[in-house]
Amino acid sequence: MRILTASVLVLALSGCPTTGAYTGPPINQLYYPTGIVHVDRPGNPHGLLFVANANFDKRFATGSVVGFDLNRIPGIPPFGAFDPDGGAPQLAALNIQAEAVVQVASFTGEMAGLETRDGGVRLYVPSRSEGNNFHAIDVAIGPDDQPALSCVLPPDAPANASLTDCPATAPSLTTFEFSESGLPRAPAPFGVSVRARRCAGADDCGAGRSCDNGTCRAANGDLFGDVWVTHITQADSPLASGKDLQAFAVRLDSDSLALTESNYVWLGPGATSSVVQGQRWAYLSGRYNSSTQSVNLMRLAEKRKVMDSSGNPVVVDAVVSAGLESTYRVGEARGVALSSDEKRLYLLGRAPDSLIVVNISDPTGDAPLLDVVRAVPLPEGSNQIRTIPRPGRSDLVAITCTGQGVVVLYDDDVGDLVAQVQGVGLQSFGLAVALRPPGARLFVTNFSDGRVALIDIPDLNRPQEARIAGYLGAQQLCLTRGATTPGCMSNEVAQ
Amino acid sequence: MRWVALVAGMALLFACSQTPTSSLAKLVGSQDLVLVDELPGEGGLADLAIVDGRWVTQGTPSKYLFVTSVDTNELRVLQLYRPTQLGRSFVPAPNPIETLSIPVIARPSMLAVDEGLNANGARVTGSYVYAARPGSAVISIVGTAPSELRVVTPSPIPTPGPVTALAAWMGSGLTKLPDTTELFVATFDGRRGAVYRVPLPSSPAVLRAAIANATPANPAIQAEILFDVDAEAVMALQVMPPLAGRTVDGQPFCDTTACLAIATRRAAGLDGRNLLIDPKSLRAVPLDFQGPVRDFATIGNGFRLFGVLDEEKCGSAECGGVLAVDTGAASGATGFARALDFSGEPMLPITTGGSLPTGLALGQGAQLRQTLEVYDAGSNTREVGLALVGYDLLGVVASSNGQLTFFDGLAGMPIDYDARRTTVSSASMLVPAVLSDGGIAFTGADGGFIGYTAEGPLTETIPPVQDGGISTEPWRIISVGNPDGGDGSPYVLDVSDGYLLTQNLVVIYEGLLPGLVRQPTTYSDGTTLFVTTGYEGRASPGDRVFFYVDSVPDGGFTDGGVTAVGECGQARVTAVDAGILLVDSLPPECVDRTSFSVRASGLKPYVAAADLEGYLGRAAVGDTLTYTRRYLVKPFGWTENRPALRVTLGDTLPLVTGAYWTFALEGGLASYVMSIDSQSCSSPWLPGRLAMARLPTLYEGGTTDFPWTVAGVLPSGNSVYEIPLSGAFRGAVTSTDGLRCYR
Repeated sequence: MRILTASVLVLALSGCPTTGAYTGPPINQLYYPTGIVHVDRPGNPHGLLFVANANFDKRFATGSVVGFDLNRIPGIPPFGAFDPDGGAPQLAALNIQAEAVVQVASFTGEMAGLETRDGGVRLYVPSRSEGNNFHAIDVAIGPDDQPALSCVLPPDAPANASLTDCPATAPSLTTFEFSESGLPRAPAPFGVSVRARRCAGADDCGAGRSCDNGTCRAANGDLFGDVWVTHITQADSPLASGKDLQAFAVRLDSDSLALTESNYVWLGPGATSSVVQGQRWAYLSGRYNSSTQSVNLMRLAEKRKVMDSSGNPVVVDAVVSAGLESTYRVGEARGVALSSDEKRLYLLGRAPDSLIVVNISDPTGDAPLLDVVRAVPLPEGSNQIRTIPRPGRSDLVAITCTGQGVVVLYDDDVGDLVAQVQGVGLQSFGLAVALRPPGARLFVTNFSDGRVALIDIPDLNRPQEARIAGYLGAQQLCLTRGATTPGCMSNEVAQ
Repeated sequence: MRWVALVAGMALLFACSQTPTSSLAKLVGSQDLVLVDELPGEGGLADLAIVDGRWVTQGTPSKYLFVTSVDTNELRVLQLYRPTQLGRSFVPAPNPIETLSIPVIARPSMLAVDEGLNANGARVTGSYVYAARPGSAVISIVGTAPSELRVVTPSPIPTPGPVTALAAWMGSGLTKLPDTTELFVATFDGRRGAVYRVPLPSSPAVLRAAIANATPANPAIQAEILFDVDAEAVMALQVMPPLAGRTVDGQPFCDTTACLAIATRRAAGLDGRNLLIDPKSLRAVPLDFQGPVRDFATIGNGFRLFGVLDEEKCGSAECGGVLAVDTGAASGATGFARALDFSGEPMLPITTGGSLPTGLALGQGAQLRQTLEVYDAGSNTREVGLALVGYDLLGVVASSNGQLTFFDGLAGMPIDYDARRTTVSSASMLVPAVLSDGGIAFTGADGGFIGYTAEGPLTETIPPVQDGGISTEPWRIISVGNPDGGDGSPYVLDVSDGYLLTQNLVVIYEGLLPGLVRQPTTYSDGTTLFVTTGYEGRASPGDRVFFYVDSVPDGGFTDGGVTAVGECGQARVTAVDAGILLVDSLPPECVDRTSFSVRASGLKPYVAAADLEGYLGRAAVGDTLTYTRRYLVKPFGWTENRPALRVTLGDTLPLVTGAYWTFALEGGLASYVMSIDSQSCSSPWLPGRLAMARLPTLYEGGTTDFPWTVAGVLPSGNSVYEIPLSGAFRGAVTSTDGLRCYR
């Protein structure tokens, strides 16, 4: 209680333009962490880390997104350092500054980031709690590498809107639920992907934006890209009827939180889980559809510019079902990732847990062809996946397995798992990668124990040497399950 | 009634005297399984397997089925037989209300068991089951004797690198458990792939003592490297028993000692090598699987080795399936050749409907329940019944679309479950009146049949074929009139079973030639017409060529024969060469010609085509047209390779351009495919690894038998299942068929 009080006091003193008291999780720690983004900085050996805190038990009024400079964490192990006798260090103190915290709605999902012109990043986080909010958060990074977070305000936000209480202004992805049909809407938004848009000319980027060396830029000079959001609960129509269940993908501009019905891409029945963007298409993994007792494992979607009968350009939605479920039968899908050359798609299946390796033909064509070429059993609860490029070799693929607290590495050269890192934590969820040639450091959020695990792969050509390098944050089990619960290591997390 | 009461009473007695058992193992991650036999000296079950002085199983009967529970880090053991208990149950823990757990390395997803051949050449298993997982450099060794159902070493044994494949071998000609067994381990350390041989004492007690007394200078377990290669991972490993007479370039090779089949992967699956390696000489001989392989299976003396083809070679399931190589004799340069199928042709892959194989098992002498067509020549009728059909080598493939596909491993072909012979159900003769487009478009540009269009009444329809035709197993001759095609016979069809799917067959007089229809041409081509290379062989000198223009003059063109929209004139083929046809002249009206079609004429005016097969051939009036192709599935009783179809037409068909016979061909073909009913096993949509054996089964009444059974893991349902082949049939297999699931 004292810690929380102190935190609130610090926030109040920091002069942040809040509209009220901070009511999120304690700012110097993580709480049911989900989405995670790592940002490298010149001269900073560790970089910065951003974590979405889901506040899953709603112990606090909201969730949060925090950022911190890894280099300022006392005792953080240098990359590749490993003390076999000392074990992985527990680094409870994260030194999160008051300006590096914003409130978001609870039940955050995945998080994605797009770099900004000044070396900062804009973060995107959906939340599944009541408002079904979608948040965008700007991160400014000072010369001392301290991040400062502020909510991105939608165009209709009041002039005095809070820059730290994001739910107060964040758009709801169910905002059109009171239309006659109750559609479009995207209840329980979960997955998110952002990618800078490639362009041949300014027309490809939209009004007010420019095309700079093949990449779109927003009016303020930031990279401009497309943001795709999934939702894991289908939308019924009319609202609350339980009938005519539908799913949408929501595509937003990276430089604006403006939301209209045209941002929704109708997918048909079957909710989605995760999304990744290729050069042209967004690849959306599918959840089990209990109403039809079926699953559409992979759909591809895009906003396509075509000419109408008068020769005027119009944007239409295009959705292609890959039909993977007829070739490889799993209950549903979770995370999805693309290889560096977009010739491969890696899809996580559930029931049974599987890594499904898919060949992509013509990924920039009007109708890419996807073929399952391999599948590998995974530990229970496969959740998120990231590809790690390797010069001269196939990608390495890192996967979190929530049910087992395991991170596994798949080597496309070998065609199988090449490392299974155990003891990562309780309900390993999100995953971020920092390349450290010849190796890489992985950051893994542990949803239930409230920490981020560091996993070092000293040499990407020897992934079997991957090992846990440390833990960030105070373990939350004592708080969430009580001091007598097995696994409670300390009372560091307190209200 | 008294008998029922007596049985009930006996059941009560048994219930009181037998050990309580647990039937639930709570499997989480059933990824692999192995069948484990009763060890010599255990007695009991082995005696039951001897009937009339001979073994009724392949070796000693399997007593246990070991299955992984990957996410609980343990193995469970399904006890296949208890003399006093119907059905099967998991081996109980010391506290018998619990199921025995054998804790092993974390997430064991790969299993191997000591295997060997007994003096009769049949599979037997030994003292150990090995558990490993990819990406980990440790292996657990588990005992198989009832008193050793636990890990037998104090800690998992380390390997030189992360394990990629496992196999174990005791030897052949075994009359007792050998003193030592050999574990083969494939590893990949990120740069190099390797295969090691690890000798182990067969006695767990001896192994434990060796470990207890080990010193750095005298380790208990030593690995010998057999194969080492840069940038290739060994993905599959199979011990091949010694085969008498096996040679390479005429010299003995692995004829008295076992060798290793290995499959490597390189270039991210686009390439890989398949080799048979002699562990003594380390000589490696290629195995001609036509591409990389990701799993192996063999049985018996190992003459035929089956491989699951790696789909990554071409990037889709198109190049997947199961193929076999015969390991009897090889040349050192080309290696052991692909197996020949029953027709004498190199075997084609056994495919699984566009999905990925997930398991493969073989059974020598296994039986399968099939339909059989019985033809009564006296009454000229056919009936379809059920029977158990035996196979010298039965194979089954589990696949990612939820199916089990059976194949004849010796014949190298899929099995046709539907033993009804291919037949022709109806025949019609039609003569065109006025065709709307001036011709009959039977084919598309690719040679496929696309139908016909016609106006006005067509002429007579001949009555259907004779009932059943003349059935000459396994082919059928169908005719009207004289089956020899003599006087008065409109047609004689000789159709073989196993080659043709259900489709329509058309034989047309002076028909358009598939692939030579509406081919582009221009004035500058002159009398040389260009066609797709390979299609020119369908034309002959004397055939008529019709030229077309895009715009038709008022009144159209007329040459006195068939008038087509846009047709400007005709010519005759004078010569045929690769990719070209030469014609005798060019009609003056055809200066603006844009395309042409070729219509059969001259010596062979009949053109045959079918919906799915496309162009079949052409023939002269009264001649027999013969069409050959590769088989689709192997029908029961097929004893020779023969043409798929022979057609002989009499002189009944009016010799009018476009007149044709159409025959409705009924293929009666379907691959023998099973799936697991979801009412009987939960979440059965993804079957995994398989085994096939005669499993001991106690029936009500106390009799014991050894029915052929397929056992497999269901990763999607966290269970292991069994299907007795004597009770199951094609389609969804249910508990009524004998399907059992154990969770």
